[in-house]
Amino acid sequence: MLERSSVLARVRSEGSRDGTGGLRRLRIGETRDWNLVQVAAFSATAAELEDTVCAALGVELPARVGDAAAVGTRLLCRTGAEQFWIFTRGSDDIAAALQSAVAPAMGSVTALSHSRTCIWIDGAHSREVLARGLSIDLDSDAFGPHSFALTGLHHTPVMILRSSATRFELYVLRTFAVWTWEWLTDAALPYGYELDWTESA
Amino acid sequence: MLRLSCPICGTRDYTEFHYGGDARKRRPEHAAADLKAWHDYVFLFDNVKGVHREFWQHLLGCRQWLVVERDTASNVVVSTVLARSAVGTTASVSPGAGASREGNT
Repeated sequence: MLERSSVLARVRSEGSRDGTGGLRRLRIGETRDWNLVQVAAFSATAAELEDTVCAALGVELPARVGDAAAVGTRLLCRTGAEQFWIFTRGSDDIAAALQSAVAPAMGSVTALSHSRTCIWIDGAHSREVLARGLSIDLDSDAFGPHSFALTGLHHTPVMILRSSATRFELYVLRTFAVWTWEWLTDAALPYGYELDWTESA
Repeated sequence: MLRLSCPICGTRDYTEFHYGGDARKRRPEHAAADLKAWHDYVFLFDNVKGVHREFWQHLLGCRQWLVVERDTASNVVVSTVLARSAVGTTASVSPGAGASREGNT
C-alpha cells in the first residue's frame, strides 16, 4: 500500500508568528490520517442508494442537504440532493466496502482521501480570519459546530467544517493546499498564530 | 452585490457560480444539418434589458446547474430552480460552456 505524504511538508519548517502586542491568538495546523469517500446516485436511484448505504454502514443518512451526522469517528455529510461525503479516521477505510455494495447502475463511490488536504484553524479569532476570504455567514447562529459548506476561497473550491465553537477545518484540493496555507497564515498574521503539527504525524 | 439562492445550498455570493448562457435558446439537434440554425445558436445573442432566463452552475458548491430569472437592469433575481426541474419548460436542457471547469467534486 502506498504511503500518503503531506503536500504541506515543505512549509513545516516555517515558524509561528507573533501578532499585534506580541501575542499568538490562533493555532493552525494540518490533520492527517483521515479518509474521505464520496457516494453519489443518479436522481432515479437516489432512494435505492440511500437504502444500500444505510444497510452497509448501519446508520441513518442525514436527511437534508447541509446536514452532517457524527457516528462514532465517522462523519456523514449530505453534500447534495443525491450526494454524500463520508469522513472516517485511520484504518476505517470504507471505500472498498461501499464500492462492492453500490452497483454502477445505482451510483458511484469515489475515494477522495488522496485529493484533499485538511488545514485547521483554532482560536477565538478564527472566524474573523476566515471571513476575509469566505463569503458565507460563519456566525455561530447560522454556522454552528458540525456545520459544513461547500464553498470557495478566492475562487478555489473548499469544504469548510466547523468542528467546535472556535475550530474550523478546511478541506482543500491537494493542488491548492500550499496556496491555501499561505493565504491562511497571511490572513492570521494580525492575530498571531502558533503552528501545531501534532495532528499531522 | 449579486447573490443567488441555490435550491440545494441556500443563498450564496455569485462568485461561487459560473454563468452558463441563455436558457431560452434551444440547441439544434446533434444531427441537424441546418447551418443557419447552428450559426444562430452559437453566435447570435439577445442583449436583454429586463428579466432574462439564464443558466448558472453552482461551481464551488453543489455543482448543480440552475435556471435563474434575473433582471439584467437591476440584478434582482426573480426565481432560481434546478435546471433538471426546468426540463419541459421553456428552458433548454443543454447548458453552455463551463461544464468541465474544476469544482468541489
